[in-house]
Amino acid sequence: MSRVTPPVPGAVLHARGDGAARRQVALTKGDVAALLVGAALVLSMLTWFSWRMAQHVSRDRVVETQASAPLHVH
Amino acid sequence: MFGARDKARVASWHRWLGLGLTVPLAGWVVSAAVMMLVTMNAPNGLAGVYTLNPYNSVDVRLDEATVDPTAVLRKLATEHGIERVYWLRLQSRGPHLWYVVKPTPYVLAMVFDARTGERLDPLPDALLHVVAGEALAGGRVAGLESATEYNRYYELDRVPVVRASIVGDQPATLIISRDEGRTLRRLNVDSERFNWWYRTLHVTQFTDHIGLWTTLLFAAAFGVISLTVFGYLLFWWRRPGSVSAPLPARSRLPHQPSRNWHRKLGAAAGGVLALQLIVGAYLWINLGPLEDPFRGKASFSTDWGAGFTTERSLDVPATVLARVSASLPQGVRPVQAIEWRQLGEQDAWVVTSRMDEVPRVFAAATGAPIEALSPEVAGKIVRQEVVGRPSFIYAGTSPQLWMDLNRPVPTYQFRFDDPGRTDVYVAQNTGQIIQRRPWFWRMFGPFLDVHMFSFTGIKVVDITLLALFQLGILGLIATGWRLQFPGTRELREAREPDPAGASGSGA
Repeated sequence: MSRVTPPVPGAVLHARGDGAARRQVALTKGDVAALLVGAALVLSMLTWFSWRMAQHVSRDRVVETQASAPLHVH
Repeated sequence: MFGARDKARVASWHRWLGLGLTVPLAGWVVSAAVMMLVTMNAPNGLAGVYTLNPYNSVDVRLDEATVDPTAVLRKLATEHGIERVYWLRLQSRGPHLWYVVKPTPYVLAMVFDARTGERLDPLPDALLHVVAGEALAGGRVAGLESATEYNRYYELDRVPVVRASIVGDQPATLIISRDEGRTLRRLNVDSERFNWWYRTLHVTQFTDHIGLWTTLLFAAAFGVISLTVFGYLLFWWRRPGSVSAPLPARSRLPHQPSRNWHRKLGAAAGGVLALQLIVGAYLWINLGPLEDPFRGKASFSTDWGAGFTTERSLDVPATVLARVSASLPQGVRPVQAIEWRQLGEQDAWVVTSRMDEVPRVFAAATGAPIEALSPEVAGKIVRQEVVGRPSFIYAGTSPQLWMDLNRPVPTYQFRFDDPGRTDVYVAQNTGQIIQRRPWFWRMFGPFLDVHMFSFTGIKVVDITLLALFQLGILGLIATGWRLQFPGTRELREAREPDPAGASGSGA
């Protein structure tokens, strides 16, 4: 492998031979764990938000259906 | 899909965005932590708890007014061309006796001296000094500073105010309107501190130029979201063994632990950070550029024509006091204010015997107290104040915080069929609108809960989650800087040829 001039100042690139194609490319266990934690957090938040918003919307609608009986002015 | 040059560019952008956005990012994290700590145990939240002064410091009887209310109405008609008013109030402040006129529900009030008829508004500092001194029990004024203030009750974008510094039993800053000396906001040590961190570091609003600062704020947020996306790309491209991964020789360098932490913290917290920025941007759109419709100002009726005409006659203060005295608490202190008001079809007097309590309402025709208006009457009064006078439904009762008294008052809730599907909360006895909440304010809660990590409702759990996230972001910033500036010794080692020739072999 030889070192090549970076196209963007500050970047470091490495050219590798054909042997690189056969080298195993994989995330470490730590990387996988971090990714899973990140994905779980985002999915949990989105799920929680959707559930909370659905609850909120249905409560807001209940106000209309329950309240229309005693007084409805047009 | 991405060539070596693209990857190098992304790496460069990630690096420079990270360095350049350190200050806003760290500012958001630190200010969030401070705001959480400030409000964590604050009773009544940012509204605070205050003991209002129950009585004017000088006993001034309202029937000492030499100008009668009908004369004030004539003056409004002849000198100011005003045909209708929302209400007219006679009140004492220090040694002064004033008529306050509210021409419509949303405009600034006018003030006239009740002894001379002279117009006093906008109130000069000397009078506002008196007003501020009467506001809180055991307080005295240390200083006044002119400012402007956003307030949801006024159609004006910024209400002229003074910031009054109060010292004594309840140190506070009061935001007092220049038109009539109404307290628009109260700040104690906690809320002042919160306000500073919020405006300076969280939403970066350094002046009233909301468009400019919001553009910069959103540019920074967009930059951090881009930074996150670039970070995930680099995380994938630089996985061990890949073409773009750091050379094995570099993995022996002392700052390699920073690289590992940066990768893992970024993978774990980057998605949450991007999500929080999107939610935060939505919250600020509501609380900043779109505050008017958010606070219900879009539901103000532009053709309000209720109240009473300036051609009519009103009972003089002595008559009002004589008619209602039997229904008021008997004491040695005089009545603090009388307000003449139209409640639906009937004339009413709103009488304040203590400034820290909800006023009492009386039917002017009979002198009988009105404990609460019927929902039908209250709804029709409020309908006059909603754009297009739309149909509405009655949605129940609830206590709502009234800014003027800084405490909840019993209200009726109505839902109007205006474009904002606005919920209007109105005081049950006076018909005064306390709160307007359009549908997108009502949907605000889940967004705010996500932003504040209020997931479980168990304080210790939610705060721990938030703190872990914040520590993760601060860790990302610290490791990012460490990677960019590893130190001279590390740089020297990196430049020295590897005696084992590892950097050349790539093995």
